[in-house]
Amino acid sequence: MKRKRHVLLWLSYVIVLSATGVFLFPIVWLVLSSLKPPSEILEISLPAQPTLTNYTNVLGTFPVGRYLRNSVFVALSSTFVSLLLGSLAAYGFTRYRFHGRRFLLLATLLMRMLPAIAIGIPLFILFSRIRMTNTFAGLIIAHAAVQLPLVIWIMQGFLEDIPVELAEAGMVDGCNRLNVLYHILLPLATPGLAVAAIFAFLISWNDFGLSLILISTPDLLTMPVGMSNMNLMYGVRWDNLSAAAVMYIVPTIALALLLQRYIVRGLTMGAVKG
Amino acid sequence: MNRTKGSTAHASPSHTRLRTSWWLSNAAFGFLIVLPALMVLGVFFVYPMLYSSYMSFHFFDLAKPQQFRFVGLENYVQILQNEEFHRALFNTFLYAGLAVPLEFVLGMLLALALANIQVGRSLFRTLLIIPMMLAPVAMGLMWKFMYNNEFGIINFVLKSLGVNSPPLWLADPNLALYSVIVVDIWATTPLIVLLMLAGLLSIPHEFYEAATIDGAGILSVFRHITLPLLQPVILVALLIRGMDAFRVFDVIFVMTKGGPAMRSDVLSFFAYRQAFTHRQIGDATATAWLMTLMLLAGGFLLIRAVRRQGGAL
Repeated sequence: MKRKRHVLLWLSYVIVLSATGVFLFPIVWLVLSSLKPPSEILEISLPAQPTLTNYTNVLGTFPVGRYLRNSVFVALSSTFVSLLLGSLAAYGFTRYRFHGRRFLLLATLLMRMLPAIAIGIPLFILFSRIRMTNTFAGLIIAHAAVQLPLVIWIMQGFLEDIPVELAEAGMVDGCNRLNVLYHILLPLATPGLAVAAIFAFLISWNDFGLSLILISTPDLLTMPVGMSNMNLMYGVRWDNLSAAAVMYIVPTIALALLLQRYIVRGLTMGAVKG
Repeated sequence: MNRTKGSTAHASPSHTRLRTSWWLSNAAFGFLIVLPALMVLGVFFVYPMLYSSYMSFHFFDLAKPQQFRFVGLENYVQILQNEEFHRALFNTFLYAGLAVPLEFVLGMLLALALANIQVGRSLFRTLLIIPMMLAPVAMGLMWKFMYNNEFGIINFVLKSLGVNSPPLWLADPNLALYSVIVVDIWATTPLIVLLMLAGLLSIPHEFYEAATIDGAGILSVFRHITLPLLQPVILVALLIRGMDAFRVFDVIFVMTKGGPAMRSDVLSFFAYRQAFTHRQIGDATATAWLMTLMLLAGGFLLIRAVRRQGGAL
């Protein structure tokens, strides 16, 4: 019995270690490739003379710096909008009962199922009539609309866990209903805000479909579309592309490492809490 | 599992009972603060979807907008008879039907291994988060680089292992879709691992101890204790992953553009081409609505299953 458990433990370690290797290898390989000078990039080897030339090159020849700035701006703005409106709505949904509440909640859940293309095509038609294609405003509000259902669901889960007595105590002390949200509930639900912010940010930062459809002006492109264009236009130059890709994924990796506690919580919330 | 929480208006302990304003009832206040979000969703989500269904019943060629006219179900009939659509539909089901089960098997195995180890569990969990958070575009490019026949590392390894003509992966029409499925499995198995691991760790130890005292073997413990208790988690994971796989677009766009010979075409990409290559908005919106209806139907069944299990969706 004891030996069996021992074998099982060893087997577990072997599985976990090899799986982690497989999952991380493509990322490591990308980073290594980006450090090779262009003459080496097509060889299978470790970088013999690691260099940052690819990074300076790609920043010089392509507007990668601008793509990144655009992505940051769009992602932060849309996240701000969806957090603001989403936490208000979540407060309304959890603490107050009104007609149609359950229907509206279900509707927001269903919105999360729609494919980006289904919303992107009509948005493109509607936006082109009011000259909102090729504007940051259009892309930001489109991203916010996609983020909102998620933010509402996450915040609702967190707000529901706060005992109602706390809110009532605040009201007895003279807070009005909005103050209760900002002075009592949101401070207690800060982890919820963090979780919602991370996932909302990633929706926008990683979005390809909507950005591809709504933005075509070169100056306004976000990173994923800009990179995909680099891939197409000038033949595939992996020296440039690998450096650009690394710059694009570094913020995501930093987010994963720094805020992993919140990420795990957000991912497992709906599934495990039940 | 808290089935009672927030289920009905009267039983719920969580709604605010005090009313502090003489001019605005709590219900009205609740609705009022939900309203801004609803307006954004209404204007930029619901209205476009409704408008899209309106367009799907019209002939709408972006190159000839003046010919816009009502055609009834013609777009839908055309799409349903289109052979490219059939292939895209088949490929989409193949993609989801192959990727998701494989992710579940691998994810479950890895989650069991992770639950079994003590030292380093949280480190491995952190590392596993990374791939699944990356943008699909970045993953697509990364793997395209590795799949390349001349300088990709995958075929380099195969060649040095003595494989004379290793597969062409993305350039082989019979293989391209499977090559993209591999990327999907790589990217999202970690999500399944995290969900399953959280589920596994939430199963009380007493269950296992009781079973071991009764003399149950590892496999029978897994079948009769672990699996049934994980069922709600499995259903939610299935819902999330099934939907995502069915809507796949980014990786296909970046890695194969549906090719070679449209053999790796999927529904999202088919709809995209109808709209932005052929400029047939009527056909494109009809396709998008067919997709949406399939997704909603699948989602509805799964949500019902989750609710029957007492889940919180």
